[in-house]
Amino acid sequence: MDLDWIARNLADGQDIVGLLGLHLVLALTPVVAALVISLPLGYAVSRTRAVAGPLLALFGVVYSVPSLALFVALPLVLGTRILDPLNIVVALTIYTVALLVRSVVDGFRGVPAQTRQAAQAMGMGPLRRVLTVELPLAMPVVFAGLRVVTVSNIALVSVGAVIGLGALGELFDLGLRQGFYTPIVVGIVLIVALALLFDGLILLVQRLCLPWSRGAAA
Amino acid sequence: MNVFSFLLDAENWAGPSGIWVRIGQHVFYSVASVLLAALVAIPLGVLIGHTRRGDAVVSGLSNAARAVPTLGLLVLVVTLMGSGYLPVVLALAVLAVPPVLVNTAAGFRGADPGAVHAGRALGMTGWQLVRQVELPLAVPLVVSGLRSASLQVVATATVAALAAAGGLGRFVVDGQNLGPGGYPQMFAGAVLVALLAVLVDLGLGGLGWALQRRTGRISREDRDHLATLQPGTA
Amino acid sequence: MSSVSLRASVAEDDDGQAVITFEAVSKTYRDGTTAVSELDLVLPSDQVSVLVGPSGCGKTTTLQMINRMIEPTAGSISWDGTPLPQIRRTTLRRQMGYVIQSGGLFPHRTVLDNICTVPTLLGWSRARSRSRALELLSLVGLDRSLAQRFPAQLSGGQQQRVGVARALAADPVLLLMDEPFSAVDPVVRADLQELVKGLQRELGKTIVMITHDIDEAMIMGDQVVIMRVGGRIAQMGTPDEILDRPLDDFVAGFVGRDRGYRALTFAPAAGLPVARIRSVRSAASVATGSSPAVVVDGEGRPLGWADAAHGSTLLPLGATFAAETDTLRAVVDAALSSPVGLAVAVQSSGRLAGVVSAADALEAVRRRRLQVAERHGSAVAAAPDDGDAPSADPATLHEEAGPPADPAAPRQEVGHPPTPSPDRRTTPPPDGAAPAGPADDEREAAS
Repeated sequence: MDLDWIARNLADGQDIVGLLGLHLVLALTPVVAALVISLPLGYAVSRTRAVAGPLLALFGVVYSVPSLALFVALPLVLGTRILDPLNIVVALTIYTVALLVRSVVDGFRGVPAQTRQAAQAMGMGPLRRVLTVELPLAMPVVFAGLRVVTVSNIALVSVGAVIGLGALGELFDLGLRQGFYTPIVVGIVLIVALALLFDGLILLVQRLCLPWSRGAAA
Repeated sequence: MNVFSFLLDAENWAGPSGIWVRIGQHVFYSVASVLLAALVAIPLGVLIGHTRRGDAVVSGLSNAARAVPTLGLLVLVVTLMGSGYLPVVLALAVLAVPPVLVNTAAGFRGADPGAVHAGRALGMTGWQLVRQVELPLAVPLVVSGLRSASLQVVATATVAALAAAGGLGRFVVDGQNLGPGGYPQMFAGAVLVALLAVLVDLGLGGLGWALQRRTGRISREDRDHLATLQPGTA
Repeated sequence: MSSVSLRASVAEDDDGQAVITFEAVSKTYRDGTTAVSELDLVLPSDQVSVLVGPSGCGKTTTLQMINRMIEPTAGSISWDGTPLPQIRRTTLRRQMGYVIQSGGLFPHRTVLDNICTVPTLLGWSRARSRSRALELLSLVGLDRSLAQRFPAQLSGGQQQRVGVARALAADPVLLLMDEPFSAVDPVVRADLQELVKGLQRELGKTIVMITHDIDEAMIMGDQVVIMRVGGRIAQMGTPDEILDRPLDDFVAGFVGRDRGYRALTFAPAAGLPVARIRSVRSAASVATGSSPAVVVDGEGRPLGWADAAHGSTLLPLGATFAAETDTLRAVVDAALSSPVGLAVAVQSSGRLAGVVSAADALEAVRRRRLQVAERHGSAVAAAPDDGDAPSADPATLHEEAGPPADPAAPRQEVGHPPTPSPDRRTTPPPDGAAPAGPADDEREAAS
């Protein structure tokens, strides 16, 4: 390990820190966007029998497409340049939605029929029932999905380095070109650390927001 | 610019760096590394699942595996060992181990405790239990683990191109180096690798489905558990 | 427990006016199954009506049509004369308490917030809802310290109590109970049944309850409606009427072969002569030749029987019954399950209260049967289970039902409120003192 290299890059305030910030933006923007899309979509899907199966199967296929393929193909659809960060954000949003919708569907389907019925029998209107009873009860499963997608997004951003835009992944490219493993190790360590940090943060938020679900998440 | 021009040009399919050869390389990397991973992970998973020990290790491993950037691992191995088939296959195999291990362990642990108990009461030995009671129930899950691993590997093998190795990722990297005119070549790589991944996914998915129909269903609980354990694609 | 403030705000219908009326109500589901057909039913106010029947008899559908969770396909249902469709669904439901299996509590809300659900929907202030909720916690016998817990942190029985409190929160006139106690064990179930009966007496609510458990129906119901598959009424009446005179084979079969035995559930045990019995701390201390003794622990709670013939072996205790609160059925069960033919009575604290001999228990059964026979005239002779009953001649019956032959042992009539006597206190007598013999000797010891 060349500690000097790390020190030089940190002192610069450009390379490592800048890449770290960019990495977070590229990884987390899709999580937020996908959550906003997935909650209503997942709820709608959970209420239908006919649509749910085929749609979830389609998402499964989408999820199996390698991210690099999507990074390359998206400019064609979006009209962006190949190096536009939007490609990565959109690609990761697609993956995140594909996985999160399943969690949301599972979450809503996991709400006990009895609880739903009790809410109805007590005179709650449909909107209030969904927002104050079903949604909170679906959240533990949604949080579990959220943790999975956040961690894998943070790891996936680095793949963009192959096409020249991978935030911390660019350290891998750098190391490879120079035959020098310090940046590679630094990249791996930072990415794993970020992933674990955000996994822990989401867990913390869950504990705070859903104090009743301790240990009950799927 | 016709983005399909590269794919439609017959010349690009033949030759030592043509599409067919790249597909062959890609499949070779993938099959070799998944087999290697299976050789290690399946026996280990059977052991962990059958003895019902080491759950914490398995779940910790699967979480960590999701956080590790596949590109970084591959590049590190290549930087340390030099490029060539062996380092790439080794690195890919390492990535393929967790999904196979987790699913195998879950499958062998998931056998109906009543059936296992009955088998024991009938005087089956540990090995007989594994083969006659646990195996039939675990096979669909093992296949599902192989499927996740294969997808992971097919995706990551694309990235191997950056490490000066072959495979479909070459088209992406080479096209990138050509500048704006190289896009059809990049696109060809992307389409081919996506097709390959979807084929693998559907093929192994179908196999798992068929096996599951034959050997009974996996409980919903197990599936939910597994859904949260699947490592992401690369 | 301030029952006054909890009184229903709606005037009580002393004239027994119908609250819920079903007229020719049918419900056919989209798949063609008919859950309920041509149902005519009156659910009177201030009473507990229990709908009971096998699964598929349409009882749940019937219940859920009352709060419009399900709409009938034909016929009409009205509440105090107002057809249900004229009342907004949510408004209607907020006026009807609803209790379901396992409480149906919201797992993400605290006990307090669960109870406040309907008051909040009705727009009560937070302070008013909270104080009401705390009041209800005490009413259903829960400690206020549980208010901030989540449902998962409560036992099944506690959850069910919260479910009852939640249903009562906005002081509804009507309480709908959908198999409310089927998920708890028999001991807890009995407590909950007692709780709901007590609340009903105290608050004068109209309760409509469904269950598949005929025992529960008989215990809870003022009116029992037995339904058969296809949603038709097989028989309707008071529990006594149904047990004594099942209309047809279906009802007789559903009520069960041991319905005569079950009828004992309606006779209290209090009033039976409880005899003293010698209690010892160890089975080994029973001298040869002496009569059986109850082995108790340091707290005076019975552990088993000791009998000289069995040396120092502790014989099983058999079932026990609570001297003040249990039913005649429990006494008979205790007597029959006792290795020495003596039913062991315990106080509410669990301490040994004394014993009732099998002979006394059966005597009480005989007199109970005569009472019932008197009420229903010749019906007794017709009932197959009572084949050995005395002749249906009223004169004979009166004679048989007369006062007990032995004036030295004045017994309270079964069904009379209990009058605790100081003799009931069990002070374990010194070893060897006043050994209680079986059967008749004992009664003397008690008097």
